[in-house]
Amino acid sequence: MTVASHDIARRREVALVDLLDRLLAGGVVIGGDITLSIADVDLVYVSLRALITSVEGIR
Amino acid sequence: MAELLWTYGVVPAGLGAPAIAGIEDTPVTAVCDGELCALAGSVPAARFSRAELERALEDMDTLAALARAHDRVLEAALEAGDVVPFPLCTIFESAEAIEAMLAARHDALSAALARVHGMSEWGVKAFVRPRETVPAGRPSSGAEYLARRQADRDRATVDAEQVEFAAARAHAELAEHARAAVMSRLQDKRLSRRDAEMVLNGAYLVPREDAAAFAARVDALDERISELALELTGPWPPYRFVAEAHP
Repeated sequence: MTVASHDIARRREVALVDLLDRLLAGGVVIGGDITLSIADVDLVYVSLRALITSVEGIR
Repeated sequence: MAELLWTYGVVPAGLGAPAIAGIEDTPVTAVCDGELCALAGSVPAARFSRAELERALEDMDTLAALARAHDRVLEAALEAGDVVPFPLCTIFESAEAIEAMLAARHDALSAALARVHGMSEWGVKAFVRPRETVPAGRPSSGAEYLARRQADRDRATVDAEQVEFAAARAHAELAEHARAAVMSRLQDKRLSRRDAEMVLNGAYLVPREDAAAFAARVDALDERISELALELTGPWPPYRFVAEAHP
């Protein structure tokens, strides 16, 4: 690891919205020969709704 | 009790699993096939079944805890070397199922690992910077009032074009200094928790040794482009640059 990557270690607490923006943008995947599948759930919608509710709750 | 395997992402063999607690505070292990290893951890099948997950993800605290734990493991993996992050809730039935996935997706995963080698992701969001408004006196007539209204509207249209152009210019300049760049969907005002309108939600794949230079470039752009306020986040695992390698 370089010195620079230490110096530029996360500048601030990661905002949940930025994290979910990355983790949910592609939807949810359950792969392989698995019996579970929630691919048909519009998780982005579900999550954003939950997120909006929580943010409004904080205000 | 039946267990499932929550999978965080894929690293090159030899790096091993980071010594950090993952989802549900369980240890992370490496499940390998050839030169590829998936980082995985056991989760109870009872609570990570489809129905339970669907319900759990509706709860913001649960979703946040899963997202934070997922990210924590991937961040540790990034600190140790290269990682291809998987989306939240990538769950397999068994180690054998993961091995089969690694074999089936070998070429795409190897290509993604090569592409993100030595890189991390930086996010840059741009918001419209509010302009100082010149207080106008009371209009002397109805006609003047209407003329002012029209002038405000015209200015708003020009401003919107200027801002769009400024955002495109910022993205283009940052992309030029990154190995790859993507523009993501803009965050809703209610989510960004900012009064200002978001006009750019970009992600940039940057060599780790260039991180400081990239951050300085963002600061310089923020100074130079008066229409926009830029916000840098990162370093992130390369979430936005590996979608085609996902299982």
